[in-house]
Amino acid sequence: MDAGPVLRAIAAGLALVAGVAAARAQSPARGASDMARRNEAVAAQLRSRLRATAANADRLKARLEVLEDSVQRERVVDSIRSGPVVAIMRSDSLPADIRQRLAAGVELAWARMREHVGPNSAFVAAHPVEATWRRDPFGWRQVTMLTMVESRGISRYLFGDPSPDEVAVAIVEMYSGIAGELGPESIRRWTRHQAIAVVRNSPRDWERVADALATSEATVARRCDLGELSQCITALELDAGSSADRLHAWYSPGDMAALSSGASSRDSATRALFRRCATTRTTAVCEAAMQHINVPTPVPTPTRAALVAFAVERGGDGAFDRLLAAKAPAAEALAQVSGIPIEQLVAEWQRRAAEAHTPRSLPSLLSTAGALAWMLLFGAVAVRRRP
Amino acid sequence: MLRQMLYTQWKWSRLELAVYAVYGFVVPTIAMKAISLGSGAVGDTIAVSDLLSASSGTGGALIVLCVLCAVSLAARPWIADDACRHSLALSLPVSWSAYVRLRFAAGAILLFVPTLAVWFGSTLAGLSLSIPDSLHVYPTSIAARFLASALVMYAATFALQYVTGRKAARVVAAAIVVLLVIEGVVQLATGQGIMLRAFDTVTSWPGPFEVVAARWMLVDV
Repeated sequence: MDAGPVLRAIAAGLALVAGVAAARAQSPARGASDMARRNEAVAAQLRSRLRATAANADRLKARLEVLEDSVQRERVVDSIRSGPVVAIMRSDSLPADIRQRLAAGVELAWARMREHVGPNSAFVAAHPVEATWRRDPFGWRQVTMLTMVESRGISRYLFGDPSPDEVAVAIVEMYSGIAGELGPESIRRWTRHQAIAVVRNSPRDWERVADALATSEATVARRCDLGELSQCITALELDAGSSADRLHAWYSPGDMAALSSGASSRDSATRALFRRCATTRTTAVCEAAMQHINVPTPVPTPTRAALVAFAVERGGDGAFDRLLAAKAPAAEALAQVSGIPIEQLVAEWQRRAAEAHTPRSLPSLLSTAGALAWMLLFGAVAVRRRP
Repeated sequence: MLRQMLYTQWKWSRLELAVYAVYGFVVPTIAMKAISLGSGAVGDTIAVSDLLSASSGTGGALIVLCVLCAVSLAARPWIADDACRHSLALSLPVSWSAYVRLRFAAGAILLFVPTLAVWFGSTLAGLSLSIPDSLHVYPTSIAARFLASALVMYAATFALQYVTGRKAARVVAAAIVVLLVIEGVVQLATGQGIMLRAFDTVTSWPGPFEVVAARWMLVDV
């Protein structure tokens, strides 16, 4: 009998038994692994859904805030008007006496601005002011906050019980700020982004212009103060000169020596250069020294802003609107606004500044008389009592 | 009698008056130069801003001198009289008010000594300075301001001394304490102080010390 088939059958049986045994031993582990994979997939799916829901909630929350803000913005419970100036209040929390002060301040502000911006100023009408009663930035006390509705970065806090004058000053400053933002690029560049005044130059402004010219480090500005028109044009940078020539046009070797004498540097070589310029006043040396100094313009930028305000004053009706709409370079724009040639404008400006010169170091007659009166009063008090 | 009174007060105060006179003469001349050199000026080369700073610093030094002169000249006669229990005032055939008037006038006249020194010093400083055409030197006006300020300060101190007598220092100290307490209470209650307003009131027209707080500049526009 051939044992082959029997053996093969036995071997196959044994292989089957071994396979079944092995399969029995492996199946719980494989089942657990599948289960884990499935759970992981479900968890990942849930996490993804959760993230999506959270993002959706954030979006809804942001939208709600925008809507609430919009509702709050649109809500006007009260307003104060004087000409085109409008101060709006979004809540009724503003105390009655503060409201009264605001009303007086708004009236005063418009009285100051009217002459300059024109009686029907579209610019002013387009920019209402918002008044709110809120905690100060440090959270210490309630204050009145004024904000330009169209430009919320421009705002002022009024502490305590603001006087009408304080309110008016804040409103005028805010309108000047927004005019500075909206003004023509050429004027903004020329005034180094100063605010554009919405009121006429005050006597104090003219005095500042006169002081700035008289006390400038540059001979060109001081000569302007003494009445040399061409020097004024150069000092104000209204001529056609290139910026490379400015240093020569503005500062004489003597001025550069004076600037050098007050300059300091950590570098000993630069210090030596400053000293050489101050002592020798040589043009070449001083020019080299000026490379290490932030050379100031001959007149400070508020002086230029005062010329812009004067151009509007000189231009009369519609001059302020012409200024906001100007597209030309600074000198040309100022001539357009004022309606006269730039030379004439600067000459008149210089004359007005010269008239504002007051030798403040001279004690006035009133001041001297007051001092003597007080001296006599104190003396009279002293003799009345006997020890 | 004024002459005699003046002579007496001169004898009491001549040493300090001499010191004040030297100070008044030296401050405008030396200080202007020193402050200028301190700011880096070389020779007569000086930036306008440094010149004005030097001028302002000189003014500040003169205010100090003004207060010193006024207080010492006002307090000295009282201290001398009080040391002998005012026997001189009681022994003279004049009323108390006439006596005090004479003391007041004598002290006020002596204030001209440092004023003259300030004027000479300022004039000399003005002559030695090289300044731009747009600026001016004001030696006479600074001397006039010095005199007016010194007279007011002197009169105020004199009145305080002669009204409060020996308690003058205590009265001043108490007044300062009371003011500080009021300031603190008002600050806490309203958030706004009163000291600054009070200072503004007395140092602006028609306050008594307006002339002291005004602009003291030897060189100005």
